[in-house]
Amino acid sequence: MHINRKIVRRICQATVALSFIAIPWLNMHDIRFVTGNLLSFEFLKIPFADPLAALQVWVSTGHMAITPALGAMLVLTLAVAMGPVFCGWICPYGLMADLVGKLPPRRTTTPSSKAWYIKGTVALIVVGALALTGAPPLLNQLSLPGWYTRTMQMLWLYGVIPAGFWLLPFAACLDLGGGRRFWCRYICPQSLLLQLAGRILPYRFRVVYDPGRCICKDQSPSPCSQACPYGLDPRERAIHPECTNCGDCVVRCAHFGHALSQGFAKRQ
Amino acid sequence: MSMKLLPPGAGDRERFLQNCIHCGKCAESCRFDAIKLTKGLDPLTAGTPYIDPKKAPCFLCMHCGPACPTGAISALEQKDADMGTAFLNKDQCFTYMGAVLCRTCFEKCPMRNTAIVLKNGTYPEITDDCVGCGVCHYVCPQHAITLISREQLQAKVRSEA
Repeated sequence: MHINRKIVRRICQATVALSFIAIPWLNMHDIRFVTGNLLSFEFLKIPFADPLAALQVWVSTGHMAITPALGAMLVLTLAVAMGPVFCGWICPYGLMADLVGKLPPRRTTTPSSKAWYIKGTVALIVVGALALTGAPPLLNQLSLPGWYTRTMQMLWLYGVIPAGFWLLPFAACLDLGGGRRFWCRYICPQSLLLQLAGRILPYRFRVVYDPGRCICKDQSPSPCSQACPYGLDPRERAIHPECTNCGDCVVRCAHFGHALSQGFAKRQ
Repeated sequence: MSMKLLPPGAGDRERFLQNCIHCGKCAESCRFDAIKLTKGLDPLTAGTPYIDPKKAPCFLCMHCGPACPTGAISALEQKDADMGTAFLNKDQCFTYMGAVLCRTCFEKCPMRNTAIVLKNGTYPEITDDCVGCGVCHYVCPQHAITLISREQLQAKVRSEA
């Protein structure tokens, strides 16, 4: 079997999903080189934190501890260089959404680039309200990677499934009804900061299109945009903020003239 | 009535909830499985830690503070844990009743000789240094010890003022 990046990505996603089942078990046995969940995570003393969680604590309390600040910076640095790769390569719900997207009622997502701005505005209002009311980090409760890993913690610690776990099948049903990656596109608040970070630098890791090699210019929808979990058109010159660099379009294009590749290039 | 405590070093409840990002590291670090994570759907509290002293009291090992990444639980010493306080009902206590010389609460108190002292070497007495970990409340065979959380204590102080 030829190893393409789609298989590598699946292995990566599955490894993360399985690791977070194992981590609470390791902690229970006093093996603590890795602790926490996808809201705040520590590996060999290197902190990683959900940037949105850190931001919410910061606006609602007015100060930030060094650990989550450093953790959020590390995560955002990756997003500055490569966009929201978390969503395509790491997020456990991303794996679930990809698999759900393969189920029979295959509705192709209508690429609505406006969705991103609407979601951003709503999240901005919520974060602004936190600053005024000093409420707890509410958006964490909508984080599916958060709930996946929190469920595993609670299962190992007390043998119960928290109510928030049921958001995962609920989101999968939304994806089935509303199109692939419905939750990720229209609801998930966590991806927002990663997507914003991906728009900072003029150069970053992206999908690069070579029109000279493309053999399906006249096709609409093209094979590459059909392969995209978000229904984006990889042939556009500017990177769409939602592109997770998952590389599915590149894998598909390998059968259609190798016009797409991934590498560091101009963002616009 | 079940009463819930916040982990040692959490301090004021409102401030604590603002800072807690639901990572569960405190529960994972707890050596006595005292810290539980809230299960429900309430967006304000779901996934935040609590201690139910009736099921498993806090033994003040103080591992949760250093484990907390955001400082929602401060890393403190035992004497500053400030979770609440305990009261002894002398009418119900075996020792005071003269039934039997019981010093279970004294023996089990993580801060014995500070939070619980033996008056005349015999009679247990809870001092002002008690931080409300709930161990005495949990172990007392006579259920003679009442535990009050920091929040209840403050509400009481406010209503009396």
